[in-house]
Amino acid sequence: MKRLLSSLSYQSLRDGALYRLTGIFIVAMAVFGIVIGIASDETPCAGRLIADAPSVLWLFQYMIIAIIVGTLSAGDFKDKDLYYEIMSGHSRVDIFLSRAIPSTVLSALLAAFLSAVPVISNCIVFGWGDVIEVKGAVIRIALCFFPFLRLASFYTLTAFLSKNRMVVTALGYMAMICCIFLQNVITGSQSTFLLSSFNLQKLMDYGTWSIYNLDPAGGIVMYTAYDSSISKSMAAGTIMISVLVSAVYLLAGYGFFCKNDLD
Amino acid sequence: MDMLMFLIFAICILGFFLPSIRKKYDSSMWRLVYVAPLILAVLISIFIEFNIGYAGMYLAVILMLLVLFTEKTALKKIITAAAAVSVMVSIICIMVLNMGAGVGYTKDFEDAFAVMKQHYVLTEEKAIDWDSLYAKYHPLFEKAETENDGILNYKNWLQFTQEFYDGHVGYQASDQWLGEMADCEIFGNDYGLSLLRLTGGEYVAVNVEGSEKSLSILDYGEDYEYAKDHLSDNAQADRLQLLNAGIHNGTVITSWDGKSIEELQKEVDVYADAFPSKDNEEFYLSVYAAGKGADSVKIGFIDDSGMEKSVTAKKLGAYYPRMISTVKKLDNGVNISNLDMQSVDSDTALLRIYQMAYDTKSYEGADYTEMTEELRQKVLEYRDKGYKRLIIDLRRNGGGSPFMVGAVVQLFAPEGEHLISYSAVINEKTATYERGADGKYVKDKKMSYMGENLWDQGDIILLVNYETVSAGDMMTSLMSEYPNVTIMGFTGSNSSCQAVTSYSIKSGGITFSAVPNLGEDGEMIIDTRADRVRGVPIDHVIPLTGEAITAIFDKGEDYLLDYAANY
Repeated sequence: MKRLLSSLSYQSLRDGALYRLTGIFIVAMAVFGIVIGIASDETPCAGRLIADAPSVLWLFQYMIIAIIVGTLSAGDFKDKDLYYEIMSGHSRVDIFLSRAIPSTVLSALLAAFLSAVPVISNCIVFGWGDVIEVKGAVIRIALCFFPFLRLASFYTLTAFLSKNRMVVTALGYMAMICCIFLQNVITGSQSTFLLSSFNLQKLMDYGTWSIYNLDPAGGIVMYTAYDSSISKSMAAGTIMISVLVSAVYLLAGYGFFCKNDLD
Repeated sequence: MDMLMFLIFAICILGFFLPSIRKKYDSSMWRLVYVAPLILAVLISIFIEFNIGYAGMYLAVILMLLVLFTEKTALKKIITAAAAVSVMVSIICIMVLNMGAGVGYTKDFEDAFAVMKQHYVLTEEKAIDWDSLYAKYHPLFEKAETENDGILNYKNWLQFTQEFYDGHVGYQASDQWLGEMADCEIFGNDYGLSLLRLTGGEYVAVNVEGSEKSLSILDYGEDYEYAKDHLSDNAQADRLQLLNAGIHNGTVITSWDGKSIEELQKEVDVYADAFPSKDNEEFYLSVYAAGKGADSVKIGFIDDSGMEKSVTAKKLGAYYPRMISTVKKLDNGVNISNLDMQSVDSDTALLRIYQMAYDTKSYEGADYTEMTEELRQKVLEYRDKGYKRLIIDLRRNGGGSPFMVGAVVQLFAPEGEHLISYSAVINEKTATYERGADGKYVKDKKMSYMGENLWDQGDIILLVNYETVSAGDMMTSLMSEYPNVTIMGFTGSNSSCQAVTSYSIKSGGITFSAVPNLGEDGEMIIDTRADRVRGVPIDHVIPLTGEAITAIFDKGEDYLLDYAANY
């Protein structure tokens, strides 16, 4: 498997399209972070970006992970590399893992990094502010890696089912659209870990308390406080459920791949 | 939800027979049958509820998926049968045994309790013991959850919120139908009358079924669909039972199922509204007591000839509609537009204010210049016409903006600057109001107004009742200091004035006092303290007499307005 991994790594590292794509994603997310700050009604700062537009930090990754996983896991079905590997004596488990592990881990890492990009760009331009504590925000963003891992594993499963990276990319697009829709439907849902999007939404949902005060000149003036701390049960649940579900997806993917008659 | 679970059960049964059917009609589409429970379960989880209480259903989903991985017919049948049994067990547990339905009543309480404990601003003043409240109510909400009893949950909330004796602490069920159902179940049975305690101490029948101006069970409309659907079988036949026995509005009631009315009142354990001041609660207590009893009650009364008699009155339905109707008949103000003025008699003008709101723009701010100018012209018009007395009708004024209060009362206040209240210093980082070293909230910005004394040619009477609350309370309190103002009513105003906020929970929402309004001394203004003595004075308590009962409940007159005009 080591040789397969190194050859796939070599192939990926020389794939200019992936580099360009990653670069575009980073720039786009950085621009998002700054534009949202400029458009803010209140004094912009990175803490406010996190508090007011949390979905920006995770929503686009649904599509981004799909593209990366689709390319790394399903790309070789088209150019028949995968078939040559089978014919040259590599076991199916090696072939599966040499694609599944790097595509899930790398895409999840990249997605988690991309979650931080708009915050960093906004912070560079506008500063951090005092809306949210840095430590809590960092922990929450870091924890996003796990639901992203779960999502990437799901895409890996679909990559081996469909053998077509365009299908995986389309699925990513659909998933992103569904998340936008579901965000409004599931507000207040108790089902924190049911879907990766629920989990991400809960991770980015900072406890808030809003109250007003009476001002002789301004009338009703609103104040909002955010609680950036995260409960141990939330953190542990995120990690355990994500790892468990990721394993189930990958096992299902492998189960299908090892029994599948390849053309 | 239950129907969808039955649907999943039906699909499991279909899956059981599918291997046999497939032999006749071979198609790969049959596989969808085994995937369908998954799709349904996901849809249920997303759009309705994900709850561990439906574990049987989730297990069935997994079992049905496993069928896709086996080719053996016998094994398929065993797995699908197990899935069907699993769903059925889930259905029985939830529908028959009320187990693990997971309605979230306890979590609702825990969430709301935590927020209130942190942000309720009258904890010290009202001596709220949070730990004992939690110890008392947490088991009750757990019971409601275990028994999946929405009505008990509703009653728990009413009782819990009334522990604060604060007109701003309340609960509203998100399911209106459940709310009406619970109100009808909680407040007892309707025997065709309400009770009121006259100032002289006697208890009299009011709003008697069949009297011309009384509420009739025949007239239940959209507001009381549940009550309409749950009238007793005998309701039509027995609705005139009290009139036929000689009980009418004003008849003195001496006993209720062998108990005195004072004893009966002790059975009242929940109200529809909060009564911060004790005297207001005492005034309305007998209204609530008239719902107590089983399928029939033996009512002792004194007939028109002075003879003591009794009648066994059968239950007609739910008491809640009559109870609310009685309270409204007592409390309703003049039915004209907000801030409208009209003539009562040649000497007396009326200004009606039922809410402290003018328009959306001004409500969010503090500028009521336009409203003040409009009202100023009206007041001057009546003053110039020679009216001597002005009655300001604040009955059932549910409150609103304190800035509007200032903008109204400035017209009538003696010349000079007058304080409305101080806001409190807020910790912007935590959005909480914190107390200083002396235990008081720290005064921040001063809200005041300049008096114009436009009605200096005569007196002003403020008509109030317990439903005059919040900014209504504030206006009453401010005007009580003017030399030409008399505050009157059957009861005083509510005595709840700290600004309110709301908090949503799964089963509805709660409101509570969360923004302090402070006086010159830094104390919270108006609200009752632990002793439940009113915070807003009442200058003249209008006696509730037989004459008042006849005027209100038989003739449909505005007794209080007439009383004030002739005072």
